[in-house]
Amino acid sequence: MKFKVLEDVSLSVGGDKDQTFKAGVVEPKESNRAALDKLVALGLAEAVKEKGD
Amino acid sequence: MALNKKVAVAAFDRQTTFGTLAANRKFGFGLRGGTLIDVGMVQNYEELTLAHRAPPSAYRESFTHVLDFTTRAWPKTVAMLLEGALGARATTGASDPFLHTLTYAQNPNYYTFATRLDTEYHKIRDCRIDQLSFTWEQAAPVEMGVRAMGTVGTLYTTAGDPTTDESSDQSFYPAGGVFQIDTSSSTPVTADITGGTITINNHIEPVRVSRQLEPTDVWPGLFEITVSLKLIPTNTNLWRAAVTGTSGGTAIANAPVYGSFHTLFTITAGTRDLDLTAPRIAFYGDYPDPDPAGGPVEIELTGTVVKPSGATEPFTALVHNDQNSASYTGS
Repeated sequence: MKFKVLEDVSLSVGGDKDQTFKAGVVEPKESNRAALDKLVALGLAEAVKEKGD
Repeated sequence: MALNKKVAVAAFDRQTTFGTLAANRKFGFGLRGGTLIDVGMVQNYEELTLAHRAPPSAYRESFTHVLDFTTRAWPKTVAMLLEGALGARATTGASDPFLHTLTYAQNPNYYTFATRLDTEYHKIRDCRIDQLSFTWEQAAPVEMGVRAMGTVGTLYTTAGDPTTDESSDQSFYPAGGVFQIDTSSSTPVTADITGGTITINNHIEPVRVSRQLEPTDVWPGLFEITVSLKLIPTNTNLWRAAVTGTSGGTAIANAPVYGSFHTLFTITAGTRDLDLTAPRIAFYGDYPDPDPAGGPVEIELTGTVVKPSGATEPFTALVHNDQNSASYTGS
């Protein structure tokens, strides 16, 4: 499953350094998964379902 | 020459490394009251018999560095303090106004607080925001309470003022804002709110070990947000709904009834404002008392924010200001 970031955003979660996301489709990695989940919770990103999901 | 109590400033910046003072005093402001630095020294006299009635010596048990003061809520500083109190920040916008969305995270950031009293300067590192509160009364400016606890003090440090001192800027005020509450749904509606207090409490505790008097860390406990709103209602339906479950109810509800709130303080709508919301609060309060002197009925409703189901944020703060994300990444 990929994520679609809806607008450019800089995100800091719980003491981690800021992660910057450009608007567009993002491939989740271990290093950005928590941040992407947070963006989804905030309505700043949405999960993109792919074939097989 | 005496020291002047009028010359007092608090400054702070997020630390990029735990255990290392932030290099900058990024944001700062003057104070309305409180304590610039409390080292919290616990020192006792030795309880020991001897050939004299005076105590033989003293000993020290611990130090706990706390800053606890009240000030105003300004657009730039409030975003960093809310990130410290809540834990997470998402910054969007390509230019002024930038929007900072502050929400819960498990481990809040560490900050260095620097204080100045006239010509004397101190720094406390590894501070976490223990308590952050916003209080207002009618249309008077918002009063912000800040309580932070840190690990190691660097006292009488080198002189320095904040990079950005907001003391002379306009702070947030209620007039022109939005004040909404509902005691039985997640959709608050406008009410004649006359004042209130919103308190974010992380219940920070010092982590103590035997090898040193100062704590090695400061650790968050219960994430507790209390919302207390005073309002002049046209009827007591908000109280009725909190007790019975509906605005037309006639019997108490066995299950707790959850409501919500939304407040917006502003300077200029959409570009400098502070928006606070929570979708799930179990409110309670007293039915209004009669008074021979008469006057409008005022009720006060208080509740603690609880976690909604799923991924919904329990509490969201939105701040519009002119600072991009680089202002909040720390040093």
